[in-house]
Amino acid sequence: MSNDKVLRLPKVGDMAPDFELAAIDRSKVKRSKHPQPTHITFLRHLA
Amino acid sequence: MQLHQPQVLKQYEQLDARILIISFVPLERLRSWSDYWCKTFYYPSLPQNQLNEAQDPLARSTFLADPALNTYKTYGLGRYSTLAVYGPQILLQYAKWAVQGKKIRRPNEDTLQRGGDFVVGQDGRIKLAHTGKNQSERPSVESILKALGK
Repeated sequence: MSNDKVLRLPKVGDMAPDFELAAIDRSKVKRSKHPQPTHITFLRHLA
Repeated sequence: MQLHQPQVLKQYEQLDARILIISFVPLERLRSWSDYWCKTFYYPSLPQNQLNEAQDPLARSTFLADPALNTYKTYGLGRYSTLAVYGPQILLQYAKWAVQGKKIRRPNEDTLQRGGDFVVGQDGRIKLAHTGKNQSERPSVESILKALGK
């Protein structure tokens, strides 16, 4: 069963949620630290 | 990945945009997969676009690992229903590949995890939010580029 009903997709115009994640070079990347336009793509399972 | 065609990346450069690619697999698995993807699919495609590895068209992209799924959940990305992932259209596609003799690899990861695409502007606000009804529904490159330019 999908759990979509309990999660909220951010809408256009909302402030983007911030996050900090590990990159494959082991550095930490924080979204808000870089002000340029950003495309965030969340992958599905890897092919 | 359609977005990582070199001619598309050139437009990202013109917009001074960056790409954050987030996966829910552990960091080491993501690192080995990205190496494999670059060597097998991406780098071989560069010569036909008059590019070489030294020009590093992927410089604007960063691969990030979120195995705890915290960021997926923060962006509203739960799981698809089984019917959405393995509905008639998808099963028909698998059947076509089988008839064509294509090897169908069994995924190691959760095939029901939802993916999505978001564009964040310089003001920190969402300019595009997209998650498909099933795995094959993606936003167009044009719509992403348009949102990046807002």
